[in-house]
Amino acid sequence: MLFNSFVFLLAFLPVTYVVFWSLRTAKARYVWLTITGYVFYGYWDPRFCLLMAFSTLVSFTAGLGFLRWTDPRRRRLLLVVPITVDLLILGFFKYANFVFASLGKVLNWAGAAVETPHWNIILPVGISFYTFHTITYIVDSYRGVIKPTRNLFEFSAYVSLFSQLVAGPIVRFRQIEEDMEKLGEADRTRWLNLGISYFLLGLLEKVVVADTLAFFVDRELAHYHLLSTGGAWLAMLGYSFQLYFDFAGYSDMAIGLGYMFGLRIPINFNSPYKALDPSDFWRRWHISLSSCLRDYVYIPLGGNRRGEWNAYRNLLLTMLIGGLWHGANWTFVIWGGYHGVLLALYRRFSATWDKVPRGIRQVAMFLLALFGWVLFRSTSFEMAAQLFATMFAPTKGIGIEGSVGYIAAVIVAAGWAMVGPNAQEMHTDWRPAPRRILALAAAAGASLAVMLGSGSSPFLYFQF
Amino acid sequence: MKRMLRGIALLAIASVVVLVSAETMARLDDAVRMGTPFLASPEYNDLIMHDSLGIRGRPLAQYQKWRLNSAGFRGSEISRVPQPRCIRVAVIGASETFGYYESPGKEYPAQLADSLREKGCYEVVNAAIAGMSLPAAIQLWDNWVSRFRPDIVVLYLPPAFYLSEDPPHFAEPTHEGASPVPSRFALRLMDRLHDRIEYPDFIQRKRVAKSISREIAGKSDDWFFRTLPADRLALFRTHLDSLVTSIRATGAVPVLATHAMRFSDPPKASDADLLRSWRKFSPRATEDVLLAFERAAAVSTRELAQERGLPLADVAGLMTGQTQWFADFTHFDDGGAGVAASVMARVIERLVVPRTAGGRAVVTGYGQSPAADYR
Repeated sequence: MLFNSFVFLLAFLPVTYVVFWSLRTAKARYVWLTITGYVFYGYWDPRFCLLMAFSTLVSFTAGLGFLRWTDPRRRRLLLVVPITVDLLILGFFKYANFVFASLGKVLNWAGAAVETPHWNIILPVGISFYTFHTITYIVDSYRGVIKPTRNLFEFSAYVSLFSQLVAGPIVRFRQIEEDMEKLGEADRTRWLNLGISYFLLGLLEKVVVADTLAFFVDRELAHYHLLSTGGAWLAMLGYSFQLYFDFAGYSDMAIGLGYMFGLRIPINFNSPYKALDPSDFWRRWHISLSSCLRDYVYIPLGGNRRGEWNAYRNLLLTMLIGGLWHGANWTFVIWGGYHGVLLALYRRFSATWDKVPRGIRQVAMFLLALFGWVLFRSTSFEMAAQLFATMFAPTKGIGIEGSVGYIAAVIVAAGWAMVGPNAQEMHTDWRPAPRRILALAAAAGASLAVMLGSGSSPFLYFQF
Repeated sequence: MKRMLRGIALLAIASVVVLVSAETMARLDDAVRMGTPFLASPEYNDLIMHDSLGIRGRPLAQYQKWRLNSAGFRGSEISRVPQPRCIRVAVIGASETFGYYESPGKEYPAQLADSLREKGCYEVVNAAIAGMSLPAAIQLWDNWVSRFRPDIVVLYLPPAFYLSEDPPHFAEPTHEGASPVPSRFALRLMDRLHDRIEYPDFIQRKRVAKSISREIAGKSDDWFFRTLPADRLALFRTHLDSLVTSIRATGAVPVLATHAMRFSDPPKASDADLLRSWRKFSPRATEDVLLAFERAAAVSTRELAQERGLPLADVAGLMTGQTQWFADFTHFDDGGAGVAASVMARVIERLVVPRTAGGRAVVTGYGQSPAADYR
């Protein structure tokens, strides 16, 4: 089910909301959130609900174990076994064919004529996200950062929370533990205004901005090999903003939904295209993922504690893993590696870089991110190489059809992303003043018009 | 009390803002995505005009995803004369050819162009008009499409028009100039809402039944086609033959394509509602007769091709009954349009024999000596 679909907006959300607030106890609300989470997820393919339930049970049981045992060996076992199970599930569904294909290529390259299998595996939507949720829960329980819950429904409500289930943000249990504990006493009206405003702004970002750009970008990149230099640049500019508004829009809707149900979900984007350097970019882009990578990969690897070269190595390894998390394709791995190199270079030359005028740094960082998106968007290295070649060597070809409208859309998107305020900057001092209500009404009307025209398009991050 | 009134006023204003914003955005969205002028209120019928040449596409008209070039054909601009060393293929048909449900660029003439482009220099002209009957096609060919000198003309025309109240007839040319686009204001939001609404099956069934009942109310029993009307089938064949003769007279090679439908023989139970919906357009015929007429027209088309030595693209032979390729009774989805295009492409490829590298190509008929040398 998509947030920007009529079935969600007109049926699922109102029913879920009304029933949720008519329930009085935290336990009943946990149960209801679990049920609705599974309905939301099962609407796509009910078979995979079992997988999520299994993953939930494994992690919950591990949490109970942490409460019971203090012996370090047992606790380590409780850490390793469920994480291994989670990673095996993720590995099977997401990476099995990738591993086979890569292995096959290596063997063929080495001269062995081996045909590797290709299994017909459906990638469950959002598996990367809820696996991360469960793993962070287990690690935080092991570290003693959180006290694992004894309430199965509290935990299952956390894992299957529909607002952040399939495309994040990656909410760690500790980040909403307090709100979850007090769910029975939550005040319906306290954050309702905030929730609605976040949700409508997110809807506007996704439906009006991202989907409009996608209309052109998808069509042009479908024949990337025919594009002219100008066409390739325009397509990638559009994709950069499409990706941002698509994912930031989803995240803002998720945050808004969280507020509507009394849960404060942390922000996931903070105007990343205003970033001045790679480090700043990753503090602003997909914040929940980058902070998880920092806390659960980079720091355990040693972080920057054992000298500069180890810090570079750790940055590179962390970002390679981050790239692989996005998808089972070497283009994602190289995209991660590219950002790892950028982060290492910035670490080495930050003193010099920081002296460059602010405007130049912002544009340069945006362009560096855009080059990364070429790898990210490409389905193969051949496509990435062709796009880079077209962008950097003057090439005759086709431009963007309907380019006036498209360029106008890119300018609006660029202005909002690079200069304008983001959702959390807009919501500060949110009160139901008439001016704001009318502004949100306008946002709702605009989103409705586009949804009626082009239907509900899936969020880009669903594929991860 | 005052506070409540204020709240109600705010709610009313907010509702107006939602509607104004939605209408404005719908117009902006159309302008950005499709280049539709912001203040215009186009309709599907604006794509068609009636002038001294008969009924044809309105030059440069556009409505939603449909956009016509300056010659009134769907697709990009074409020159009056084909490019040197290129084969020009015109496709004449009704809405199945013009494209209805397919994504832009996925209607079968566009996919045919994509397929043929890989084989050499071809130009494909989508000369279809939604709702075009065979007599209208003859007029369109004689008065307009033939001026663009196609080398090959694919004919994919629906026979169901021959089951309407009166048989299809030639349109009277109007000498008052092209019918203008009426000046009007319509809410684009309503257009979008109308396109998006999908009624539940039981409501849709009732709507169809009501529509058919209205059409057949008060009709005597002999008004209905309860058996296949042989005279109508013969007329279909006569008109098709006339069109073929007319095309051949210009030196172009006609390719006959049999008309496909989604319904198998017998139709699947799951298609019952759709079959009933189809009858809305030809209420005179029973559902059995509708199906029988389509099948008989396909047979008749094959026979005509055989008798006159014409190339045949047997689209019906391959696609009829294959529900997965249709978006409704006869209109293709993207995949179905691709299949139809590939059937036609194979026939066209066999017609064109490159004579020398870079030299003239020859278009031949089936089993005939080369019919014409081209450029």
